[in-house]
Amino acid sequence: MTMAVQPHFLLLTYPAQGHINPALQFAKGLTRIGVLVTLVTSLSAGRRVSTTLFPDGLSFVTFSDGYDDGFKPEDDRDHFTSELKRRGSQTLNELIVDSAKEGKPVTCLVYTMLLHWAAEQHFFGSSLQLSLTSITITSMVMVISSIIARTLRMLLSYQGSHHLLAVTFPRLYFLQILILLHSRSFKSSWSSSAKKPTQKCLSTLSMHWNWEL
Amino acid sequence: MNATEKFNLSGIGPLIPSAFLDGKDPLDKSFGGDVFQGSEDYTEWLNSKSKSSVVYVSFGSILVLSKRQIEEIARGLVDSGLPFLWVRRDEQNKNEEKEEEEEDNLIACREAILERQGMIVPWCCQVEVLSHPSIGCFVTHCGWNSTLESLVCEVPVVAFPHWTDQGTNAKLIADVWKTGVRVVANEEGIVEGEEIN
Repeated sequence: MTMAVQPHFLLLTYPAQGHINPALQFAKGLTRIGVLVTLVTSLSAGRRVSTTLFPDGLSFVTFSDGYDDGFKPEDDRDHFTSELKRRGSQTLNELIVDSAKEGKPVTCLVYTMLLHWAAEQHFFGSSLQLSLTSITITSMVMVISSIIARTLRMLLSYQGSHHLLAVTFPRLYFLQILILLHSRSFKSSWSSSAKKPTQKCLSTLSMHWNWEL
Repeated sequence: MNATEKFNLSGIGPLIPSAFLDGKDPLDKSFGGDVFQGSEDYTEWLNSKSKSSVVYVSFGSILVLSKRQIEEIARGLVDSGLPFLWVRRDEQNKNEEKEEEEEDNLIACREAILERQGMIVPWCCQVEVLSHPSIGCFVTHCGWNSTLESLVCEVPVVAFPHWTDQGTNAKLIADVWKTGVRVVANEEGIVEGEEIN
C-alpha cells in the first residue's frame, strides 16, 4: 500500500539579500498550499533572518560556509564559492537523509541562481532510492546570459562577409544587437587569440546554466 | 521567458509580501530576511512630508559607489530642493579612514540634513517605504527586486543601473514599460549632479 507523502521542498538560497527575499516569499507561498518547506542558506545571511513570523510548515536551516561574517569585497571569491559548494552539498545531503528518517522525505529540491551544483548532488548514505525533482529559480540574469550566448554563438559560426551583423531575438522585440564586423581582420582575429576568451566565456556560461552551447 | 529555447520555464511572482501585493494575507508585511540593521525613525519623517514629494534613493545591498559619484548624488538631491530619503549602508564607513572620507562626502548635503530636507538611513524596509504615500520617485540601481517593487508599489523610477541585469532592467523601465527615466553618465562613467537633478 502506498501512502500519500506530504510534499516537502528543500529550498536552497544564495546568501545575499536580493536572493533571500524572494526565496522567503516563495517559501511562504508554498506553505500556503500545504507544502512543507525547509529553507537552507549559510549562517552569515541566516542569522539576520527573523523566523518569528514564519508560517507553520516552514523550517529554517543554516550552515557555516566559512564566511560567517559575510563575504567581503576583499575576500577570495573562488575560495568562497568552493566552500559554499562543499559545505552546502554536505548540508543538503544530511538534510535529505535525515528528513527521510523522520518520515518527511524531501520530494523536491529547489535552488536559486549561482547554486547549480545543488542539482549535481550524489546523495551518499542513501540506500533509499531518492528520486528528486530539482528546480532552479532564476531571474533576468538568465535571460541576459541567454542573450550573450546567442550573440556569441552567431559570431562564432558566422561565415558571411557582411560588415554588419544583426542579432535579433524573436520574442524580445525591443532588443537588437548590431555588431560591426571589420571583415578583414575579423576571421584572423577570431581564429587566434580572441577566440580563446570567447570560448572561455561560452564554457563558463555553459557550466553556469548547464547549457549545451 | 520564451526567449530561452531549451528550458521549460514558468513564471513565479512577483515575490513581494502579500500585504503590499494583493492584501490576501495582511500579516505578511515583510520579507523577514533583512541582512542589514534597519533604522526605525524614517516612517515618522515620511509622514511629515506631503504626498508624492519625497525622492527615495537606494542602490541595494552590494554596490559601493565611488566618492565622486556620492558627491554628485548629494549635490543633485540638494539642488532639487525636494525632500529625500537616502539609504547608505553602514559597512561603507567601517574603518576610521573611510569615516573621514564619509564626512567629506556628506558636506554637500549636511546642511540639507540639518534643515530636515533629507534623511540618510543605513537600511530600511523598502516595500514599506515605496508604498508610503509621500514617496514621489525612486532612484534605484535597478536590481530585479527593486524593479519589481517599484512596479508593485506604483512608484516612478530614476534608473541608475551598474552591472549584471540592471542595464536590461533599466531598458525595460525606461523604454518598454515607460515607468521611469534613465540617467546618462559622463565620459568618466559618473552621473553628474545636474543629471540627477
